[in-house]
Amino acid sequence: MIAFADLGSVNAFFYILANFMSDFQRRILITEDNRVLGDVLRFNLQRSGFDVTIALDGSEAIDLLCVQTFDLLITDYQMPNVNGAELCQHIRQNRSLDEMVIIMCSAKGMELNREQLREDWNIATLVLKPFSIREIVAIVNDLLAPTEDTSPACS
Amino acid sequence: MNNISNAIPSLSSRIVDRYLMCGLAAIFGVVSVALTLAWRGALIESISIIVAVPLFLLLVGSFVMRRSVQINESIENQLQHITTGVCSSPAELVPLIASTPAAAGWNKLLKQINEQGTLATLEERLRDTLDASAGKRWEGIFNALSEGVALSTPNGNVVLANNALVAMVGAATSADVVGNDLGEWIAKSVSPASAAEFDSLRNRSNSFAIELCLGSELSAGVWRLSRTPLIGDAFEQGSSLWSLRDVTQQKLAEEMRNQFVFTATHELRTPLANIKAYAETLIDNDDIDVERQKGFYNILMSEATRLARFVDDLLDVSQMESGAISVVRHETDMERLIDEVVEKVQPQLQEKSLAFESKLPAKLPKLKIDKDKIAGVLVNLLSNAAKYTPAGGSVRLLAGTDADVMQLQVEDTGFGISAEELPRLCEKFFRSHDSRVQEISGSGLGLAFSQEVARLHGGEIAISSELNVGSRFTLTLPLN
Repeated sequence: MIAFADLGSVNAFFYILANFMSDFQRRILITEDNRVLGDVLRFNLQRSGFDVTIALDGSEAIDLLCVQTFDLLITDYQMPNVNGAELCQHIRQNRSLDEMVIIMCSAKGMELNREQLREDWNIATLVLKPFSIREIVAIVNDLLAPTEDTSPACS
Repeated sequence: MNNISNAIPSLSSRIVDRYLMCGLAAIFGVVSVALTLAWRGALIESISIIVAVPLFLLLVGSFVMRRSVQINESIENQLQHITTGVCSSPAELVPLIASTPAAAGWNKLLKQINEQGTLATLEERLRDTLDASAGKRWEGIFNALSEGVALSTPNGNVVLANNALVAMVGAATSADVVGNDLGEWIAKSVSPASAAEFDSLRNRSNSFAIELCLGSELSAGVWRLSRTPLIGDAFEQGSSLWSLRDVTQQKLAEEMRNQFVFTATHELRTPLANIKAYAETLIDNDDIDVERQKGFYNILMSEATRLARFVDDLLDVSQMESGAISVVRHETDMERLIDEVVEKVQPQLQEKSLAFESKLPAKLPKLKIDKDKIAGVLVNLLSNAAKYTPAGGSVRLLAGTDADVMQLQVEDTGFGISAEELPRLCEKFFRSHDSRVQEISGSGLGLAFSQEVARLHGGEIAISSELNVGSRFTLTLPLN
């Protein structure tokens, strides 16, 4: 009985530890309609120790943002239903999401204005497709570094 | 004539005067000699002879002399007339009727002067005719220009407008435009937005150029208008030259090029982004389990295939452009071909849970066609139906034969195509501006290629569609 109880308490301990750890795990939301690309991003970010969720379009991301909190958003620009711009607009209009760091990825590199994006929605970084996974992971690590460095990395 | 002769004594009268003076002197000499003789005796005879002979000689001499200077006198008179202005041109001079060298010289001179005069009139007449024909030529050229050209006064009123301009602004004749404000005519012809843009520029004094849209769509027409100040003595200060060119074709080609760049970058970048991401992940992580690795390799493969397909599409189009598509016809069993096609698109239809139905007659004739190309066309039509029909919709394939054609119809309950976009659907790189279509990847080449293949088989693809209801693509192929 004691052994069982001990085992249970050990399990409980691990459960609590896991929860505790996951509280410390920074949460990332990826909004990307290219499922294949979203998957590989999640795979790599999970390996770097982040808790990653994927939304396939802007409206799905908005639904997720209502029920969960995220530290960082990686969003595509061109997406069905609600696109990247509309998503950013929604986030910046919502005070509770004000702290969230946003990285935007797009294949429309030339048409988007970095400065404008930074000014309008406080986009930390614009990454052009095709991007390097290493680069994204490095940027995310940098932006979510535990040090109180408030100046986000620019690319 | 008389008063001139009075004013200046004529040559002959001057000569006669001197002659008479000499004659009188001689008479006085003779008289004095006669008086001396008379004083010595034989008075009467000697006086009468001495007086009568010189007098007779004098008279005869004066007559002869007058005759001899008559020619010179008439020349002198005529020259005097020119200097005093009685005669205005050398043409009014009169030739002399005499055979003396002076008269012959005078006549020769007159003849030359008259000849020159005739030449000058001829030249003048020729120049006049030439000027008139050159003016007509310029006018002809002006009116034949494909570009609309007009001249305006400083306040914008038209002085001159060519046929192209008159036709472009929609006036019946050039008389409708001349005298009116060209700006008003132009503003009336273009879209309100362009008219506003034009209004902000037209009051400037310097030259400008602007592109004006005739409607909200590019295909409605685009003009390029430029206004340049005219400088020179021939024009009133502040006059302008307007030129109006139809650049619709150019703009459409430009739009197509932009569309291509947009499509190509998207179609190339998306698979490329995936390939790069997966390859990098595989390189950087040695400890991925085998199953997962395999999954990653499969994704690499399918993305590379997608890239290859797009490149193939591009090659098809470049072949199409150069007319290098060759159709290799073989006797083909249409039922088998349709089965193969359906099998190929089945996964796509199932993925979106679309209801698929194929209605074929009991027996389909064999056709002499390029099997691969026609199969490609049918796959294209069916996968388009699958792509642009929302989940849960339905797609139908119908086949039927007529006396001399076979018709294959693909019907869907998809987004449909607006009436404005329908005519442009088979343009290469054209993709609907419908946001639902824009979200789906596509090269805008499939239908252009399919239409070309149908054409090469002597058939065609007809499209009918209603927005938000569905579309029907009908491939018609001749039986023989």
